[in-house]
Amino acid sequence: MGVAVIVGTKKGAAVLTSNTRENWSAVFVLKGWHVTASTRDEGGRYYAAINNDVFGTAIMVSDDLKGWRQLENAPRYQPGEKGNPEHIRIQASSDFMGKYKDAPRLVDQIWTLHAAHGAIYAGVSEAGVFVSRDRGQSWGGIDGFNNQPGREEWPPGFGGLCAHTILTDAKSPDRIWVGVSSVGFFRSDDGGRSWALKNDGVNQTLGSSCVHRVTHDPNNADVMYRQDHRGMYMTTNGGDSWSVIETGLPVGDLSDGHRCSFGFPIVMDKRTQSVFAVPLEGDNFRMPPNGKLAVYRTRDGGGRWEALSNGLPDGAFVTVLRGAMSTDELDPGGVYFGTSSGAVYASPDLGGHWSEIARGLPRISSVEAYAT
Amino acid sequence: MTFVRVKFPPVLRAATNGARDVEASGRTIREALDDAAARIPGLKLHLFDEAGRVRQHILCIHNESVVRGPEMTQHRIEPGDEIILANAFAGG
Repeated sequence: MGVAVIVGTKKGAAVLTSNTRENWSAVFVLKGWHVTASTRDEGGRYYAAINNDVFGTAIMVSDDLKGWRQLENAPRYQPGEKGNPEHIRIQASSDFMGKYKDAPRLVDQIWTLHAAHGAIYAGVSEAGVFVSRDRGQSWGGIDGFNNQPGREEWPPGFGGLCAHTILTDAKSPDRIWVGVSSVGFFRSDDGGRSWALKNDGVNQTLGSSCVHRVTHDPNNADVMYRQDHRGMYMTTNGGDSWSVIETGLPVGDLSDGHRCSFGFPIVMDKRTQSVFAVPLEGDNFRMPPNGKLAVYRTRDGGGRWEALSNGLPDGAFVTVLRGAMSTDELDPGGVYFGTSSGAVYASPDLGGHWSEIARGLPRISSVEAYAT
Repeated sequence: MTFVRVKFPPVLRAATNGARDVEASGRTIREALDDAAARIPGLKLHLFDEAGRVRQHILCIHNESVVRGPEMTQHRIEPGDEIILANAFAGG
């Protein structure tokens, strides 16, 4: 069985393929577009979210990873919806032509795509969730999420107010989780009609919670692992309560002096329930401690983390973004991640050893691996 | 009806199935862009924002003049004209 890895970058996507996970072929597609996320539906169709500062956001699809065509529709807010003022202010900081002055609520980026229960979900900024039930031909907002009371006062994160994580329960289509920077982690138990914040036990600052990424096994959905701005956590009850799990992880000072682990991506190998993260040195630096790039793994439900750096470089002053890590669900499990300096590393053995399978790419935003 | 040619920048060819341009009709640049988007449906997302406005980092070059934003609604065009759709750019 082979693997395809869609590596989304600031200027296009590298599609890496291999039948052995040792020798890799690469093609570069969607040139000129920031490829921010990808997914594959139950029918085997691939979806890639693209973005351009001038020409906006769209979704491309492919049935063979060779030819791509753009869908006619994409997630969009309704004309006249009022945007979050602070998100608009952040977007306007690079707005040399005044695009965002008096802006309505705009979808300026798709941060995540998630296929489940015959639907495709999209998490976007300004923070919201959209769903398509016809393979992307049409999209509708999940109004219960997008129109929550108080959302106009939600505090954006460094990159704006974005819904970057969507998870679902394989056994219950009514249960959906959404992570928003820097508001926190939401759960719906009624198919998206109502939502509750699930941040109990997570260290907070200024009354908000900045979840970075959450992973789980959809077949064991209530056990979740959370890489937060303010540390590493897990829950066994779907987010009702969270506990710190940092034994073995490097910790450092955040800008306000709180000591904890820090990083962005977190992924799981579902077969073994092993969890992988890439710790960085605090929110001031966002690089591997001392430049020693390492993936950390827990195999015992967060009881202990171990560093896995066999084949990874020293002197790597890079960042690994929240969407830039993935697993392939083969046996043994493969793990993949991409860096801000355009390198992709892969391990065919749950992190036992790593090799560089691509280099010289633009800044990497998203990495998704698919067994083929 | 006035027919003009609307030319696309390279990055937009992902949305146009590789087409470099399209013949479109209209009396103003805005009408020509609306018609181009009707002929190539994938274009609509890229030319207009949620409020229906031409995305404001888009500019059009017509008869060696640059036309932006709301000016496109009034800017008249003639049969056989060429409208170059461009993004704001800089040299260096």
